[in-house]
Amino acid sequence: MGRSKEREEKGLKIDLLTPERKLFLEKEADYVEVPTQAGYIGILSHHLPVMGLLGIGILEIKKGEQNERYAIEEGFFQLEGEKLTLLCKLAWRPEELKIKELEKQKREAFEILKTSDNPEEVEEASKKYTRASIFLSLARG
Amino acid sequence: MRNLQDYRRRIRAVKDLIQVTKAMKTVSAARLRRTQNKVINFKPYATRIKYMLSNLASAIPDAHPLLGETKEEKPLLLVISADKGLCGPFNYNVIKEAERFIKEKEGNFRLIVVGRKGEEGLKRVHPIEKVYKNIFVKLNFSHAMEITKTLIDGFYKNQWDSVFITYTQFFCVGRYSPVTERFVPIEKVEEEEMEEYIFEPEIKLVVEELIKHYIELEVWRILLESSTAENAARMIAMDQATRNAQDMVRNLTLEMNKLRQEKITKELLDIVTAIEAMKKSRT
Repeated sequence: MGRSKEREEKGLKIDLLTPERKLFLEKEADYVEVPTQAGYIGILSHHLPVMGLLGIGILEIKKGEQNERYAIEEGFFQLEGEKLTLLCKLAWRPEELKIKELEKQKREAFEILKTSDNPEEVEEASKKYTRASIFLSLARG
Repeated sequence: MRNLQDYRRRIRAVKDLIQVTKAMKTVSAARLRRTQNKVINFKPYATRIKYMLSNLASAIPDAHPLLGETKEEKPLLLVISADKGLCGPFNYNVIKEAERFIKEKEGNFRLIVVGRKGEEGLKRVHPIEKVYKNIFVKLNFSHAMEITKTLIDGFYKNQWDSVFITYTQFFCVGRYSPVTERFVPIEKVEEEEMEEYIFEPEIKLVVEELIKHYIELEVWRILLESSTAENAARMIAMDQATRNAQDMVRNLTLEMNKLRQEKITKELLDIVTAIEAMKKSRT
């Protein structure tokens, strides 16, 4: 997705919700980086309407000099005009992530990856490993 | 006959009990508030998911296995009960409702139970395939995801062709009732005009995930509702228990005082008689 300076004037409005809580509503932003299942996509103002699946990763929101990041896990996003709705199954602010727990999950997944030959187990463990690594990098800043 | 010491001991025991029931009432009230907050936060999310789904309704294939009608030849029953007792007739009612369903279907279905109490009550009646225990203490959305995964996996593996849920509907504090509903396949969604979207990934996958997520949300709603009803039921039960115990303390104290009075009167009588006797012997 291309970035162009003159388009950044009109801002995006973002809602981030999970079934358990509202993280924010109508947050203004110039640029958003959304983790989808196939990788990150960047969204600027005047983007075409887009709808899709969220993956596991870090959501990045830029407004002026400010930069906010959130850990999100699976869900849906829909961009209608300037309104971006992010519906995540699970989402955390960086300070809510538990470093110790994530480290433990990472270690456990790593053990399975080293020892197991069961392809289903390996796939699940590698997913867990990636997830823990991404979230750890966010939690540690 | 009881003596005063017995009474004192019993009163102390009942007073201790009051402390416990009062504490439990406070805890349930706090839990009730917490789950009710979750219900409030859940609603705007569910509305937005429904909106997305109706946007995409035209893209849903007509013969989608998770939507529309089914023969209900191989049903699955999911029973939502509680892990702990002391909540009045809550668990009993759910188990009775499930038993009614079991009778109706004449045993021709599979059974999955949420909650320890449901397991204890139903394992005598029908073999249980899977039990989810201790999820209500720290209820979060990943529990709903886990349960839904089991439901949908079994559905696609043709272990069952429909899912029924027995759970407790919550209307308000003091009013809740068990109910059995058909759950999967879900009813068709209404269509809405759709803008031209770019899909990421392709639309088929998005729709598939949305439908699954919709079911997850329904599971979540039902877990929340049942948990709300459970906490409300426990709060009422503990309130009643506190009141009963207070009555008991009052009665016991009354009886004890009567006994004490009796004892005092008797002693006085003894003294008076003794004095009278002494007076008589002197004259």
